[in-house]
Order: sequence, then structure tokens, then C-alpha cells
Amino acid sequence: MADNAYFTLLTSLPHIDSLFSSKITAISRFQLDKRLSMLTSDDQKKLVMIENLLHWDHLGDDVNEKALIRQAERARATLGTQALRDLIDWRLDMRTVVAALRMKHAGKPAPSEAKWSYGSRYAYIRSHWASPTLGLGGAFPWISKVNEYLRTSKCVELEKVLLQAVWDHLDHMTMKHRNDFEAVVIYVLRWNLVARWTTYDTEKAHVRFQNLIKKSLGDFQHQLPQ
Amino acid sequence: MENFILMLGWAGIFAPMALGSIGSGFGCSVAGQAACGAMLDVESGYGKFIGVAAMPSSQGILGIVVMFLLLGHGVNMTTAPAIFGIGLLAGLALMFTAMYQGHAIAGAINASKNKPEIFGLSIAPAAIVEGFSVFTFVFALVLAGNIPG
Repeated sequence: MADNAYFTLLTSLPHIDSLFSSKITAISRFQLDKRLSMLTSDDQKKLVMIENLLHWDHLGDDVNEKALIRQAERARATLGTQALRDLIDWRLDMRTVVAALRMKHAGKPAPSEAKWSYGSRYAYIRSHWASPTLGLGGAFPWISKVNEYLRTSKCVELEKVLLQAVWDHLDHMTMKHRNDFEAVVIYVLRWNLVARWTTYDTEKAHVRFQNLIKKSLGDFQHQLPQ
Repeated sequence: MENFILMLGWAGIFAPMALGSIGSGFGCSVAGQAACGAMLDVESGYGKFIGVAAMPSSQGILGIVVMFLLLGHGVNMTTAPAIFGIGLLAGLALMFTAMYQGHAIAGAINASKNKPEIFGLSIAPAAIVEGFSVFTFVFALVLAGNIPG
């Protein structure tokens, strides 16, 4: 798709105003997919690959981490532009940082395996395990807030901080990309954030939590006091 | 050598029109694509998007006027270098202003689609770009009036 041909697609997409004040997504997924069909098949494949890499909804409970890391590396290598690679790296680094903070909060030591996660900073994080901010307080200023909310078990606030960090990063990227494939990717990722926030459901979360507990306990669940 | 200089003179005559048309075609295409996209997202007001998308066509028209004015001087060894200089540079200026005006209009369409009340204001950047096209046109006319011979 020639660079200028993205004008039609991008102007056909409704503006996404804000994250937390949105009650519904600006456009349904069905309509969004119809509009995205204007992309060439190569661009569509890339977009699907990026979405699969960054969203875990399609993954089951038994995730093979090594396979996931390999898949991320393969996907990253096929991305055409440095801007997309930087975007993917940032998101994967964010995942790695949050995973590391959660592990630290649970009292776990630094991972023994060198290639323990994906992104571009896993080795650095491993070597700065002792630091409260993993030595990344400057690059990821939200780390101190995440630490605080992990310590105080404020899950909703924690989720909001992480979503806001992604939203801000995508906002920043929007300044540099107005009518190219990166702009389409940024739009879809922002749409996904709003979709995720607006579909949070307490009831569903409760049922899923109960199911996870049952699965974790396995045969022992019957031995618990009622 | 003489033929080469005369050829440059003729190129200078046709340049404002040809380059202006290239720019207008590009600008209208970009703005038109944005207008088509916006029409998918809004329920009404299609006409204003299509209307504003035609704005970069003016550079092609200005180029035609400059071309006829330069043609009026006739191409000979005295006039050809001046015609080439004025025509080529005027053509380049018209081409680039038309191209970037197309981008400015695409931005205006995208913004006013989401906020219709800013439509008038949103085309101000495109109008400023148009101003530079008019500067080029006016000063090409002034300089063309001073071509010796």
C-alpha cells in the first residue's frame, strides 16, 4: 500500500477520545475489521501478528513461555520498520518489567536463565534485580507507582497505571505517525485498550477467578474446609 | 548549444503548467482519499469534504496562466534563459505547495469530521499554503514582465 493510500483508511476511522472516560469503543470490531480490509494482505498479516503478540486473550492458561519468547523474536524480525520494532520492544519490555516486579513482590530471586523473557531489556533487568525500580525508573517512570500498588494490593489502580502508560506511549507515537502503517497499528492498539477497559466485567472476573482457584487446587479442593 | 538554450526556454514555458498539474493531481488525490475515508465515518456533510478536496487544483490553474504569460514573450536566445529560470522555479513552487496543501486538507478533513464546528478554522493551514502559491504566481508575473527582449 502506497503511503498516501493510508489517508482513506485513517480518515474512515472514528477518533478515539480518551481511555477511561469511554463507555464503549468508538467503532465495533466488526466495522473496524471491515475498514482494515482496505490494507494490503501483507499489512493485514503484519497487523494480526502484532495483535497476537501483544494481546494474550487468545492464549490458554498453560502458556509455554519459551515458545512465546521464540514467537516474539520471530515476529519482531519480520516487522518492516524500526518504528514498529521500537513499539513492539517497548510493549514487551513493559511486560517484562511488570513480570519482574510481580516476581520481586512475591519474593522470588532473579531468574537463573539468561533468556528469561522477551523485549530488549530482560538481561538488564536481571542484572539490576536488586534495584527497586530495576534500574529503569527513568525509562519507565510508572514503575514506582506499580511497586506501590503491588505492595498495597490495589489491583484496579495498578491496571489503570499500566493502561495509562501504554495509552501515553501510543499518544506520543501518534505525533510522529499520521498517515502510514504505523498510524494504523497505533489506532488498532488504542482501540484494543479502550475495548479492554470498557469490557471489564466484575461478574466475569469473579467466575474466572473461582475457576482458576479450582484448577490450581485440583483434587485438594475437596479437602478444604467449607 | 543554441538549440539546447531554446529547448530550455520551451521547458521553462511548460514547467509551471506541467509541474503545477503534477502537484495538483497529487494534492487532490491525497485530499480526495481523506474525503472518501471521512464519508465512511460520517452520516452527512459529504459535499464540503469533496469541495475542500478540490482546493489543490488551483496551482494547476495558476501554472496555466504563468505558462501563457511566458509564451507571450516568445522563445529566442535572449528570452530563453529568463523564461527557463522563472518557469522552472515557479513550477516547482506550485508543485510542492499543491502537494503539501493536499496533506493540510487531509488533516483538516480528519479533524473537522470528528468536530464539525472547526471546519472553517481547520482549513486555515491549507489557505496559508495557498497564499504561498499566490505569492509565487504574482512574483512570476512581475518577473515575467521584466524579461528583456
